[in-house]
Amino acid sequence: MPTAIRTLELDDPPADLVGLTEYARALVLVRWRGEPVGQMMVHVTRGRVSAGELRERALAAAQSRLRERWVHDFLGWNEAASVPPTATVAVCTRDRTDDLRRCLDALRTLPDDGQEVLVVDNCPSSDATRDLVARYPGVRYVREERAGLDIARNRALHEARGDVVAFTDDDAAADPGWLRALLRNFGDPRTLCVTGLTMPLELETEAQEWFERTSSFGRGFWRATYDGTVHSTLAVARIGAGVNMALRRSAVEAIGPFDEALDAGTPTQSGGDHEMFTRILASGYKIIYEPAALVWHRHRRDWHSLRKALYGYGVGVYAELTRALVVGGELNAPRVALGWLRHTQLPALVRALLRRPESVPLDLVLAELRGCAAGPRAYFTSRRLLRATTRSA
Amino acid sequence: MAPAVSVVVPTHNRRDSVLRLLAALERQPRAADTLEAVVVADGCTDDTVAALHGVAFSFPVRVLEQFPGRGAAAARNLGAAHATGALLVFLDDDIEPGPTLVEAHLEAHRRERRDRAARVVVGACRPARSVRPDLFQTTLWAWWDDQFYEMSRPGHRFSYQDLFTGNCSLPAALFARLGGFDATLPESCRDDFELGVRAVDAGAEITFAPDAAAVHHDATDLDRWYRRARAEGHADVSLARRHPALVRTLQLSHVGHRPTSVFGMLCWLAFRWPAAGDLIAALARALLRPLESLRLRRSWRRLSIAGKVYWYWRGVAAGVGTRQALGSLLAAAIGAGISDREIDVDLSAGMGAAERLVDVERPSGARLFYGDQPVGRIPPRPGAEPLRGIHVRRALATDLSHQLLLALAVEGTIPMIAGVAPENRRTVAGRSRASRAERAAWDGLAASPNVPTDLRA
Repeated sequence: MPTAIRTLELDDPPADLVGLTEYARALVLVRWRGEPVGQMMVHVTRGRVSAGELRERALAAAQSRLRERWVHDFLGWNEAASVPPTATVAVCTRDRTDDLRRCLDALRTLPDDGQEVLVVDNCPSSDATRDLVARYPGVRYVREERAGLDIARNRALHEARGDVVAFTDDDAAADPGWLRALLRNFGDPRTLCVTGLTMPLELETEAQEWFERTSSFGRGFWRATYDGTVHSTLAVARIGAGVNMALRRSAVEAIGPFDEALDAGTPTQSGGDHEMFTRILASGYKIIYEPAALVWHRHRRDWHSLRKALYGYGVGVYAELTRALVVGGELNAPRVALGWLRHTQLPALVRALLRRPESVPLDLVLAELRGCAAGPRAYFTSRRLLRATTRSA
Repeated sequence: MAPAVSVVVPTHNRRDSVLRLLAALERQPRAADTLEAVVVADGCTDDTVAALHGVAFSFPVRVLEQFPGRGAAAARNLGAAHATGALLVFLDDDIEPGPTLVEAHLEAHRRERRDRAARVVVGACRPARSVRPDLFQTTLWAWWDDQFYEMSRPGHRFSYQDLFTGNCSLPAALFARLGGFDATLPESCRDDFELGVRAVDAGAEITFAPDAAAVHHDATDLDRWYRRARAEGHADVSLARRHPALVRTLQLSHVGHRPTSVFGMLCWLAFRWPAAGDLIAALARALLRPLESLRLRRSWRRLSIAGKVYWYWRGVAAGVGTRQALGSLLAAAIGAGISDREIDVDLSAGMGAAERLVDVERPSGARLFYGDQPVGRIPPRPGAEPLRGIHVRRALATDLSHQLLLALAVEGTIPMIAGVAPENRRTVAGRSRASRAERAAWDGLAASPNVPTDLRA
């Protein structure tokens, strides 16, 4: 049975959730004055969840974050940068107009602070994306013929007019408060990047449920600062992902553009965002995780795409660690790679083989492991291909 | 007519960088009408003086010389004595002023006339980032950046440690009243902190002017950093002797490390067996290079900091002699600065009223209450500016937020409600008042997050 996604505002007295006959459970995002403060999973009984249960569980789910938010509100305490930087919202897309429509509709709900919205159409097979974007006044369209998500991201950084470029994916829908929440964290000049909270848009299929369980983008409801002069530069998965990240445009001069040998559209399949995080930290800058900056991500609906995605993540992680070792000279990279294998993937494999309850389906575990094994080679292949295309261009 | 601003620059064998500084001053708006530069060549053996005489600027440049060198603090005093402007801006010779530096310093002091307190204004001087910075440069750059960012944050409580002579300004009258820099500190180290202490004691405000920005062409490397740490240790002894109240804000007050801890051993080595300590420090220094090239950052960080701590203690040992002497120095400091003024602040009359009270009283510390409930204490800090209302607000929003919430709940400002969750109800009975209050606090939060508006004032 699928899981319903609902939100609950603590300022409004909760009503019963009804009409959930299709669902066994509901994932409820708890907000306070619009800002996400917690989440909870509630059981659906006969198609409804009672207001009383919501109320009790919501308080427990939101407790610590709510407490902090409430005190700050009470005191009128606000540390946000007094003048937020100008911003460009960049969406890199490739032949996914259904998703992109939802994404652009969501971006329309952002309060107009003068931000620019930019769609980078990456190596499209038709004009469908261009035609769709044309129906959204004020949205800029740029076509990038060279395939590769990192290539498209670099193009976005190049084209953007804002001082900060907020990236989101075409299969994600931003919350109205998303951009403002990201931007208010750029007060410290050493902060080069801000990431945000990503929640599942829907959990309708088994594939989506398993994606949320194994590779959730959620990073909790506490704001966190990652400082390159303090924290590990390689443990970056915890920071966030490219679906929800904002970069200072000046990052390109400070530490260089995205590595075009990485991420979707290349043999490495993912990892471009995390490689950027690694480089930001290694150069002594900071990344902030801001849970108030929320986007909803549509996970892959069918099992086949899920397996492919997990394989891709495996490839990406090891490709990116290979780069860290080869290009960045990070001696810790093999250690991190082995640590991940030993503490995360092998235990998952063992549990799957023993068919332990709640264990990840074996084919998903194997897909990711196969990806890991292919990662290092994929990076070199990808680099070779990239060199070949740049030469021919 | 006297210029409004005198820029005082002590320099030692850095001809080109002084010329770069003066060229940047030339680019300031209305440079010719507002400023003069006083360059003090301190024991220069390059041709700084000749080079300065060879270049013409639109503003007057006075070149003074002290030979042999007597240190930067003495040079600054000499420069200030010959300056004619009402405002003194001190810049180090490796600083390149931003385009609005002078204007921003002037503006920050103009604001002063309204609240009447004399000010020492600190400007940002961020190190220039090299193209491929090594780990040390990155660390140092990040450290400086954090210093200036912290000063720009709301509710930062300024102290003597925020005064950097690299880029700061104060009225010439205040400088004269304070008696200038202390030129007897070893290597002019901590002369800025020492002036800061006296400025705070004299009731001057230390403030930060983000627009008075400059680039710091810092040539410091690890070895120089270690030498500097040693000088700082030595200077801290002088600082502790002169201002006993500050002792607990100085690193040397951490002498009580467990003798078996790494820092404890470093301290012991520095005092008792410096020959072995120096050898170990040299070996560690040599090890830093391979650690860096292997990008083993954490090990590098630990080892480099251990080196710094060691050299700091070596400096302390040079200044004070023995650990016994350090002990008596610390003992003499106990009880210093007891005259600190601490007041009680009741928050139940509203944050606005509480902040106004603190802004009027400017105490050195505060005990915070909400009605009868104690919330917390902002302790007096030696060498820090007297409290302002915004400091209280920041403390409540950060360190004391939990306690504030408890007090609000117990005092009934956040109504306690009946519908406590069952799993909570089970535990409430056996718990202390605090935990019940805590539970009530967040139950109340959601029940009625709308606090009476007078509280927010």
